Amino acid sequence: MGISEALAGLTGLFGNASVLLALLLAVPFGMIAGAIPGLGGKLSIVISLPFLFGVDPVAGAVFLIAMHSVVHTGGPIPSILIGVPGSAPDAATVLDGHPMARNGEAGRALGAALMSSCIGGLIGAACLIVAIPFVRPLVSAFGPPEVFLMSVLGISLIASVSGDALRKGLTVGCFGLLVSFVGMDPFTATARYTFGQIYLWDGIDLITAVIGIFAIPEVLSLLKSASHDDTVPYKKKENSSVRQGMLDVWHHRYLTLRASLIGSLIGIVPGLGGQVASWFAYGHAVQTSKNPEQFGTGRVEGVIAPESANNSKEGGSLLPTLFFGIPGSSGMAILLAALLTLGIAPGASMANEKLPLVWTFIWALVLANLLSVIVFLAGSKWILKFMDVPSNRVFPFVLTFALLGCYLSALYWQTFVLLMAFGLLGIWFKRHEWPRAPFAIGVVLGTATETALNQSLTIWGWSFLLRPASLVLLAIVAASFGYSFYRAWKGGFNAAKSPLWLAGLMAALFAGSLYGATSYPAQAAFFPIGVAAVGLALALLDFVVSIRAHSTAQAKQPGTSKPALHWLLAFVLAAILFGLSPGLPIMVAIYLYRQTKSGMFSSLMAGAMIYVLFEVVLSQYLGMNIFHGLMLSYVDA
Amino acid sequence: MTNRLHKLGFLFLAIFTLSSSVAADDAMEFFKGKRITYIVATKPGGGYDAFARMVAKYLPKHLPVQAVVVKNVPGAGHMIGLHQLYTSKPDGLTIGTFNHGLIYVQMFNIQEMESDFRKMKWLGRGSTDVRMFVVGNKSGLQSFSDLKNRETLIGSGGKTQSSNIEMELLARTLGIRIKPVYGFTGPEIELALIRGDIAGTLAFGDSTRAFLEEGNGKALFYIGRGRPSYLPNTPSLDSLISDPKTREVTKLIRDMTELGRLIAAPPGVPDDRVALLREAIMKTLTDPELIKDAENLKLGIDAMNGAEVENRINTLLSIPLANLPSLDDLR
Repeated sequence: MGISEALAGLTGLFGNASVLLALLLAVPFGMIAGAIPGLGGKLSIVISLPFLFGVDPVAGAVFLIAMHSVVHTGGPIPSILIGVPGSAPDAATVLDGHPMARNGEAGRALGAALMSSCIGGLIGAACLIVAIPFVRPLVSAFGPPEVFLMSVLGISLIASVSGDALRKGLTVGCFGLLVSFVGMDPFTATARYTFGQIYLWDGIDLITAVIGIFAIPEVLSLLKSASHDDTVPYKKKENSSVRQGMLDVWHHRYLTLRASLIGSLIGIVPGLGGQVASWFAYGHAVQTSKNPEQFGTGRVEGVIAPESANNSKEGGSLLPTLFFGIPGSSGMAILLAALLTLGIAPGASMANEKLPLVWTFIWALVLANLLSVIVFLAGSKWILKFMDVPSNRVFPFVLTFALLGCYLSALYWQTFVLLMAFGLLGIWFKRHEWPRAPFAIGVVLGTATETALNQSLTIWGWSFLLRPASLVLLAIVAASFGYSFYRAWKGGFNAAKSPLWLAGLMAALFAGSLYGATSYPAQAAFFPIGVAAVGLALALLDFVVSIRAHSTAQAKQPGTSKPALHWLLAFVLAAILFGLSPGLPIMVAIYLYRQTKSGMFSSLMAGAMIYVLFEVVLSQYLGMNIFHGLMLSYVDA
Repeated sequence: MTNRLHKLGFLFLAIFTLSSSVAADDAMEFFKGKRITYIVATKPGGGYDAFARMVAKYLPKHLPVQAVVVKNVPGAGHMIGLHQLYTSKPDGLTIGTFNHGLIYVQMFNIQEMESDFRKMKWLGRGSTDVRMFVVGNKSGLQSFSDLKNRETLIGSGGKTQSSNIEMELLARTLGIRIKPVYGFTGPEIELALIRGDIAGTLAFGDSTRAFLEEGNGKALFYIGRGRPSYLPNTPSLDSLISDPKTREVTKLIRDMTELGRLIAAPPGVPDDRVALLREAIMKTLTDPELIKDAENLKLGIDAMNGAEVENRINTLLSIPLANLPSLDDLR
């Protein structure tokens, strides 16, 4: 590998007008796709693929890679502004990004997200370049034992991100792990926690769970009271600017670098899934911070770390994808299929005769990340204008997109019921200050951990833990666990007591799961029983502590207003009965007319706009399945 | 007298021909301007989806429908899509594609199924493939005989996936010891072979060809009709084994592997509409424009008529289980 290939790759990019055009189009498209909850990288590749037929294959591939690499530059926009993550990785940015926006620092948070995404993307590309000569030993260094131990390391971060509510955080983490076990276990072909519903065989849809736990509480808080346009939940702070946020990244340059390296490494490991990169980075930021207790209240590091990792993992995961044909994440799996479609066959030959092509892709990665800054800055004025829109007018649109995102990801209507259930839990967790981040870590890592452990045990037995690489990883895991607990211990515990019913509800959930797991074969029952038992113990402890607590200090998060809950229920019911269309367009119109000062005409226009978007743009033009409601199928039959 | 009979015969024949063409016209009339829903049992992206979207694009050329709309109904290893197809209105306006490995689920009664493949209306087949037993370079296995007298680690997606079911059938009939390792998704299994975590896997020819061509491993035998061009020196399993019981198993695996990308309609679709759909799908799958698209998409197309598919599936489902090794413990 040398300068000549690098230059050849650059000529490949600039010497071909269609390739350059593809790059220029891909960046805004990828950012917009990332900013729409539920759309994200995977679906945007599926959507754009039909349009790439007949295009020059290199241009097509550059388009896909560039688009996919900046999806998570657009992702933080809704995470920060409205607290609605587009996907599981973006949820990490909600934790501190959204509080920043509420504190009046939306511009700063966006600037930090933008800059760290860009730097992360560049570091990811650099890692890709450096790793090419070692690609074979590097990728094949990670097998089931390593994936298992890295997953456990990830789970240990639950303790870090729980802040001062360690017991509650661990309880929620156990709940997340249990949720990930729902579905068909590949080892024993046992349907776990599916209650006879076969749509649950593939597990609970991740987007639905994450939107329920993280986004629904934030969406509902957009609607504080039943009265009209008087709700402006965000404070204004004049000195918060995008520029300041960008400078923050320089200020935290070592964190940016470490988070980016973590992201690249996780991208390289096949089987871990890119979902966890941002959570690893967030956990690392908390763990290494001097003020861990301030995370969750709007620390800029809480934005910088996950955003750096989200973009840097793209470079890392291109490594197994391009050189082994083994995707490092589910998004890469779709990208791989798309590359094959374009006639680009990944594999070992990429490191030899096709190296200039790889360099074209690397340059695409670099330029896409740089271009995204320009696109973002050009649009930032309008993006920030969004903050001036009365939040109760934003409410129906955000809710509509959240429901759309869940459906497009799961493709079965029952997911709306799950969304409601997770939404309620999210609301309660938020109100009573139970940390929600552990849920995301549990739900993205649960099955990966279990599968990797079962594979390792089948192949080596417990002796796999004695392999040299395992010992090193074990030491890191132990240090991480120990350090987190030490910090939590030293930092003291949250005095806020849980309402007895919430601790009781969690205890009942765990007890039920424990009972359910006893009927499974031993191998399928091992993890659920272990996790449910720990969860039950923690929840009961919380129950007891809450009874005995001398302090009467209840958690002080404001509750959700009744009208907000009623509207949520109405939207979800409308979606189930009358479908995403026409159910949701009608609800948007009704809402705007009844709840805001919008007139009849503008309310109907807004509803019509959503209708056209669903029926014409998404259904007819992009060929997506739009759910039309149970009433219709009832009439049909 | 004979003459009269002949005349009568001609008359009947004429009436029959006329009436059947009227029926065909009726069916043709029925489809005119309608929309067909094509259920795909996977999420968008991937082979099944690409195949269905391609058929949906060209089917209206050969059938007077307004459009064919693809509907992704993923989940439960294609079971949800199959169920929705099976229970849809049997008017010929809903067709679908799912993993043919589900036929094993019915054959061996591995999971409870509401659908009965004997009653399904089969409209055609899109592709065929071969099975091969692939080992990684670190496995130390060089030939079929190496599999004896040792325990071999075999990777697959899960206990009830067709690759594992077939491997279990083979192991039991050949008397070789295997230790299955589950939970690999897609190409992860290739990495596990390269690393030497597992020794081998039963793979499809089309998807594993590149793995072999890059020198990552070797195929010890294949199961299929006719030698694939990319396996010049690999023996077929039938050439290594003469035991009739094993032959029964290899025949089953071969016949199943040849039923790739099936297109089906729910039970109860009127016969004239089934006939029309079969004809239209055959024309679609041999349409030069579709073949060209398929080449671009790297999808192998090898069309088979629905009537032949129906025969083959009925034959498969009537194999007495007593002739095959028992898989009762897999349930």
